[in-house]
Amino acid sequence: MEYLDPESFLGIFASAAAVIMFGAIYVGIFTLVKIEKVKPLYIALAYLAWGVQTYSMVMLGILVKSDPFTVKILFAAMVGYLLIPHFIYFLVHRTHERFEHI
Amino acid sequence: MSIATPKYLSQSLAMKYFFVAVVLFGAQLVMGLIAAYQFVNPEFLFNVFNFSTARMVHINALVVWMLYAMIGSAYWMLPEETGIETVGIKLGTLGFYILTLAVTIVVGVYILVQVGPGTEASIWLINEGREYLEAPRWADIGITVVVLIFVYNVFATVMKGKRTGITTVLMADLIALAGLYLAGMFYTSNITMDQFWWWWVIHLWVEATWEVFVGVLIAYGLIKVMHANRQIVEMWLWIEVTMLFGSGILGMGHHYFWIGTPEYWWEIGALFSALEPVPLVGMLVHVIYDMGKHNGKVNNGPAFSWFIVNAFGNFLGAGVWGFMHTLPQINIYTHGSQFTAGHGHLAFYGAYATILIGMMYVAIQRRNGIEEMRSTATSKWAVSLITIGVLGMTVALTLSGYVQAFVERAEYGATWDGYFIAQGATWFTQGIDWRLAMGVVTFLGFLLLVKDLLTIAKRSKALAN
Repeated sequence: MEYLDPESFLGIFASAAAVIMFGAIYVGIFTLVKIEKVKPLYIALAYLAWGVQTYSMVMLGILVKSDPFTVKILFAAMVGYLLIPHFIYFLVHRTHERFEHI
Repeated sequence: MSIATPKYLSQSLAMKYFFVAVVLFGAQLVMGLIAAYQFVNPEFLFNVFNFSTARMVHINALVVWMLYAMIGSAYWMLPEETGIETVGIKLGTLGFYILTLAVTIVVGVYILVQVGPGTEASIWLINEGREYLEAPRWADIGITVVVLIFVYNVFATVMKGKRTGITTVLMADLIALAGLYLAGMFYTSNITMDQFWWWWVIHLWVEATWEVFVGVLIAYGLIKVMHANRQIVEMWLWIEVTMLFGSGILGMGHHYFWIGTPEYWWEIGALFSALEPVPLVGMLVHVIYDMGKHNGKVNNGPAFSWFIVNAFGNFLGAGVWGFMHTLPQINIYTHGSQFTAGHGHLAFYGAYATILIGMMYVAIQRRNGIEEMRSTATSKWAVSLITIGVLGMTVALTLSGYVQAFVERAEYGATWDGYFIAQGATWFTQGIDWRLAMGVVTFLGFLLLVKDLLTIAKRSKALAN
């Protein structure tokens, strides 16, 4: 494991916080659109938040001096994070239809 | 108009557990204030009641009040979920008195005797010397017996009564919670191996079994407070449990980075720790989803406020503050610094204190047969002051921790000189001062919380009439 540049500490803390914050913003807006609390147009903002989250994750990977392979893995994880809310809402809507519209 | 008042002995027992939990919560805060003041003025009570003792009681009181409130919450919801009185309730009540007597003696010994000569007798009678789990061995055995009684009560009741998704998850979680405590009850002569097992209790309790317990309480709370659809809530619960156990168990790797375990724990710890915030995001969305579906209609304003603070506090404290320093590359600089303390303060408050206080309000409402319990001015001040206080402490400790990571660890290579230079740095000392100030704010909020818990039922009844 390589030692880090102290100058990159702030960037590491900020990008790590941004990964989680923008991750929450992505699924938060996604949820509000799905339950029709905001216009469908706002889904674009959700995906924009995911984009910022992905950028932050890659930045974090670079700042902590991850090897190129790990950065690729991180990017793959972000693709997974993009898909997970869709899968969860598929389950929720199916349950909703089954138990609330009988 | 009122709702049916509880007729179950189990719920009377739950109120006893909640009462002791609040007393211990107060003790935790007083000890925290003493320790915070000792950071600012190290002469204070030096050699009378040292920082190490104040900190030990501060943390142990935290763990124990939360356990009390969790057991209380389980005894509260058990009859409502199963439709029957808790089986073995007399045994459960006896367990409560034994546990409370044991806790009183242990705290008395912590405060009056503090430390022993380090012999086998010290381990049995004074404290075991393991951080966070200092209870002497006799108390360890007592705690195990009481928890086994509790587990028996839950299992026997669920087997006899109605079984729901909530109680099924609760049963599975209790096996893990009770079983893991045993991992902290034996010693090995190798410190690495000893720490290895010790983390099974600390990490797997907090980041796996306690989080699942919180999921159970959120599910129950949303059903009772927002009349959320049980099937949907329980499905969310299963998703969260899967994710929590999936990431939380191997996420333990982030505690194995620097204790002498093999280096493969770096990769395992980094990967699964990175996944740990995902279920917290799921829990946040879960609450947003149910709020949206029910247009924010709630029958218990203060409980709902605490549930909301829980969703965001858990996400911020455990998720954001955890992920900021969980990767091994950065954790090597922040480990054991005030950064960790900042994360610990917000995570314990956000994830656990909030939901347990919310459960106390649910119990007060239902015990007093109040159909709709609105927040009072005191409720709002209490939740606001405590939240602002804890957030303030977290930010202050994060700043101090940043100085430690930068100066002590990176610039001076974790040397003795570096330690003292960092301790004297202006940003560090200012962070420590602000932590004390915000601790006082938290304590004021706690006093208002106690007042509100004692008076809100009377006020709500008067308003209804």
